[in-house]
This record gives sequence, structure tokens and C-alpha cells, in this order.
Amino acid sequence: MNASTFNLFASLDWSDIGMATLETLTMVGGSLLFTVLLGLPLGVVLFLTGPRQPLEHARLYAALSLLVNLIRSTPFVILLIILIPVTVTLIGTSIGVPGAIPPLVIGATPFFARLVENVLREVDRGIIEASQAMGATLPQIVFGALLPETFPGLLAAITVTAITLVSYAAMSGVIGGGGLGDLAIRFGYQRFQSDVMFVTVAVLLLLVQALQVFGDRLVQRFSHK
Amino acid sequence: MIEIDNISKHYVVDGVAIPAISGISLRVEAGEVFGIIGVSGAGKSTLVRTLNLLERPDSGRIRVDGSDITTLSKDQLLRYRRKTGMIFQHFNLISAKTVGENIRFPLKLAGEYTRAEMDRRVDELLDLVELGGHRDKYPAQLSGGQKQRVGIARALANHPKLLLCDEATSALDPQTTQSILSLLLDINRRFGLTIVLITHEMDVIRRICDRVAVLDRGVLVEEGVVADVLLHPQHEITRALVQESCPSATTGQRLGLSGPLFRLTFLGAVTYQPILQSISAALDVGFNIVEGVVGRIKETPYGQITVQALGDAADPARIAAAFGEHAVRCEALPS
Ligand SMILES: Nc1ncnc2c1ncn2[C@@H]1O[C@H](COP(=O)(O)OP(=O)(O)OP(=O)(O)O)[C@@H](O)[C@H]1O
Ligand SMILES: [Mg+2]
Repeated sequence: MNASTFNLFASLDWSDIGMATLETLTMVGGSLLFTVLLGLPLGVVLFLTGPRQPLEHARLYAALSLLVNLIRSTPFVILLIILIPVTVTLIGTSIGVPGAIPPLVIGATPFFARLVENVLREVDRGIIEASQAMGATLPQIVFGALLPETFPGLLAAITVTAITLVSYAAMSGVIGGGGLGDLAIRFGYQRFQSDVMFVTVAVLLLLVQALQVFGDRLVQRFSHK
Repeated sequence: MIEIDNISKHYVVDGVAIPAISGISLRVEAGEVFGIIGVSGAGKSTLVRTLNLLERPDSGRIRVDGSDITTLSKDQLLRYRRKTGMIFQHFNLISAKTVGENIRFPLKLAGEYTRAEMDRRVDELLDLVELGGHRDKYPAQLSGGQKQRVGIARALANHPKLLLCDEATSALDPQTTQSILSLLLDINRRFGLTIVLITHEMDVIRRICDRVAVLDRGVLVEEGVVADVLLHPQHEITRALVQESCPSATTGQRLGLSGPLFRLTFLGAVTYQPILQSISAALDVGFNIVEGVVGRIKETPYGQITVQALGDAADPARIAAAFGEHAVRCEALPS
């Protein structure tokens, strides 16, 4: 037995871990922002063009649905690799924190859009009808009735998406995406430093846990059912 | 005034066309409370929803104050809907908005009011429906009756001329139903608001309607002044609906009685006069009351009783004539 067994984390560079955590947070935060900005409208359009909805449009719905399913059924690691050229054209690099954000957004947007669609479908049809009867235009129905009514549900969907993004962000370490995943792969996997691996996973767990608790609180706060 | 002219509407379910309403023509006068009654699936909701084009009829015309609403442009339809209130069986309030915000919603849609005007109108409406202290509550914190009051306030926000009620009291207990009906009647009188309501309960019709139409499998089978339809139902379906709320005998056989049976119908002031007694004395006939109801149709007192005439002088023609003189309708029942 040597000393390092007793002090497992002796060789750990905590500042590396701090940096990596910060990078992961940036990746998750940045990609979450764009995911919501893109996924919310996509989800609303999916809902509105769906069967028996105000803008029912079978072909548009089928096309969007297929696109969403296509991206969702592609394993994220594969998506990461396929998207490298796209990322390079978009922002000039495919590595580091900025390089990770486009694939994260593209991977998570269809997921979030589907969640949004489902949340909207849960709304009582009567609410749309009552709004129509009051003479609301479609934008007024969406912004004045549907989105306020589903706000807690949308917060829950954002929470789930944020958590998914944490794991996606870690995965993007495979292609040099930076952050905790990158650290885990470079040190923990390639150099057999299992302590790094262990701490990385622990930090990720803490992150996920914190997001869930925070999200649940928010949902609770805005729920009036 | 609403003139419904020969409207029909069908739905397609699994490729099969199902007629919901067929060739309905009706006239609703301005300021009246018009009831539409029928059993489940009769097409009541479909009919009332054509009046704000939530359902567009396949054919026929609906004229409101002279103009055909089926030909309105998109913008005109929105404006028409803003002037046409609607309340629903399940209230359809936005649960994420407070009572005040729910009532404010239609005011915002109209886009014609300032903040201060909207605040004032919301308070006015809350007072009208007696929910003064509930402005900042959420619908989940209210009882069913209170939710429907919010629904009514919301429907009245833009000063509509017409209020559509789709089974507005069907989810409420009898006592709450009475208070909501009183409120509707009060609003009808105070603002001269035309109300078209649908229900499957004859009691609702009796309580607040002036005229009623009976719907059966999408077809209008009977229509008239509530007292006439209620006291002398012509169609089988109407009779069934009336029977549910105030059963009365149609034959002596049903009662297990023989001897001349008469059904007497009192309407208005005569209801409270001792006519039975005076005719009994004048004709020297005894009357045995075997079944009956006394009540009110809206504000008008009425009574409908079945009597068995006793005594040798019990001549049906004379008896009928005597009641006729007192403006009491008398029908001999088959025994
Ligand atoms: N959206 C729809 N799609 C298909 N069929 C419908 C639809 N709405 C109504 N129907 C059918 O049309 C007929 C009339 O329905 P409607 O809802 O008008 O009846 P109702 O008298 O209001 O009944 P209830 O008292 O149960 O509300 C029924 O046979 C019903 O199944
Ligand atoms: Mg109905």
C-alpha cells in the first residue's frame, strides 16, 4: 500500500476541475438559451399544425415531425461528428466551448420542441375555444392564453432539457468540446486517472441535482392548478 | 334579433358523414331568453356554436341584426365575436391567470381601452357578479359557482348584445344552479341582453326562458312560448323531457283509476283562485285531485292537476265549459 491509496485525490488539480465546471456551465447555459429560442417556436408550430388544432396542416406537420424524429433518433455522439463541418462554417471552429454549442443546440432543439408540443397538447381545448369565442386572433391565443397557461409545464420542459444538455455537453468532450467531459476523457480515460473521472462524475451529478431542484421550485412557484 | 335560416352541419367521423343539425330555422328576438333543449347528442352545442361561428354551418344563413354572419370577413368576425359573449359548462378559465386577469383578457383583445379603463371595468364586472374580494385569486381557489361567475363577467366584459350559454349550469349543484340562473336573468333584464342557452334540464328552461326550442337528433321538433311547450308538449321527446321535471298523468290507466279524468291547466293569476271549489259548488260535482304540480314558469304561476270527477252530474262537456269560463284549460283524459 502506498500513500496515494490513502489520499486518493492528492494528485488532483482542483483549479482544472473548477475551470472545466465553469466551461460546462457556459456550454449548458449558452446552448439552453438557443435551444429555447429555437425550440419554443418550433414546438408551438408543431402543436398548431397538429391534428385537430387551429392551423391543422397534415403535410407540414408530417415534415416537421420527421425532421424532429430524425435528429432525435441519431445518437448524439454521431450527431456531434456529422455536425463538425456545419459548426466550422457557422463559427469558424469545432472545438472548445463555442465549438460545442451548435451541435448541442441542434441536438436538443427537437427534443425540447417535442416537449413543448406535448405540454401544449395538455391544455384543455376549452381554453382555446373560449379565446376564439372572445374574438382572439391566433397570436393572441398563443401569447395571451396558451403560453401563460402552460408556463409551469414549459419551465419543467426547460429543466428536463437543461439536464439533457449537461450530459450532451459532457459527451461533446469526445470531439474536444471542453468542460468536464473533456477533462474526464483526457485525464480520466486516456491517462487512467480514475480520481479525475470520479470527481467529474460527482460534479456532474451535483449539477444535475441542482438543476432539478431549482427547476422543480420554479414550477411550483408558478403553478396555480 | 337572430334569424337562423335552414342551417345544417355534419361531421365526418372515420370517413362517415354524421349529421349534427339538419335544416334548422329559428328566430330569436332581441332581449329575450331563448332556450334550446334536447337530450345528449341532439345537436344543441353544435347549434349554439354556429351563432358565433365556432362551428360553421355547411349550408343556410344566420342573420344577426340583419347581416349574415356566415359571410363576414375575418376581421369582421373577430369584431362580431368580441360583441358576443359565451359561457361554458366547464368554465374554460385560464388557470394561470387570476380572476381579474381572466376578466381583463377580452378587454385586452379588443385593444380599445387604457389600463385605467380596464381596471375600472374589471372592478365593475366583479361587483356585478358579486366576486368583489376575489380579484387576485386563481380559478383553482374558487368553487364551481364562483368560477362560472368569473366566466359570466368575462363574457360581459366588452358589453355584448348576445350571450351564448352552453350548458352553463350543468356542472353545478342545484342551489348554485339557481343562483347562476338568477344572475343571468338579472343581467338579461338590466342590460336588455339577448341570451341563447342550451340545456338538457327542463328546470333551467322553466326558470329563466321566454321561449324554447326542442331539438331531437339534429332536428327542431317543437318551438314556442315556454308555458305552452311545458304545459302542452306536442312531441314525444318534449313530453319525455317535461315528465322528468314534473310528471303528470296522461291516462287513467296509469293511475289505476276509472271514471272521468280531467287535466286542468292554470296559468297566471287564476292559479291562486279557488276555482275548483266554486265550480264544484256550481255544478254539484266533487273533484278528487289525483296528481299535479303547482309552480312558476319564470315569474308566471301555473298549476297542472289531474282530477277525477265524482257524482251523477259529472258531464264532461259541462265541466269543460265551466273551467273554460275561468280561463282554465280542461282536457278530458282517456280512462
Ligand atoms: N367535433 C365533432 N366531431 C365529430 N362529431 C361530433 C363533433 N361534435 C359533435 N359531434 C356529433 O354531433 C352530434 C351532435 O353533437 P352536439 O355536441 O351538438 O350534441 P349536444 O346536444 O350538445 O349533446 P350533449 O348534451 O352531450 O353536449 C353528436 O352525434 C356528436 O357525436
Ligand atoms: Mg353539448
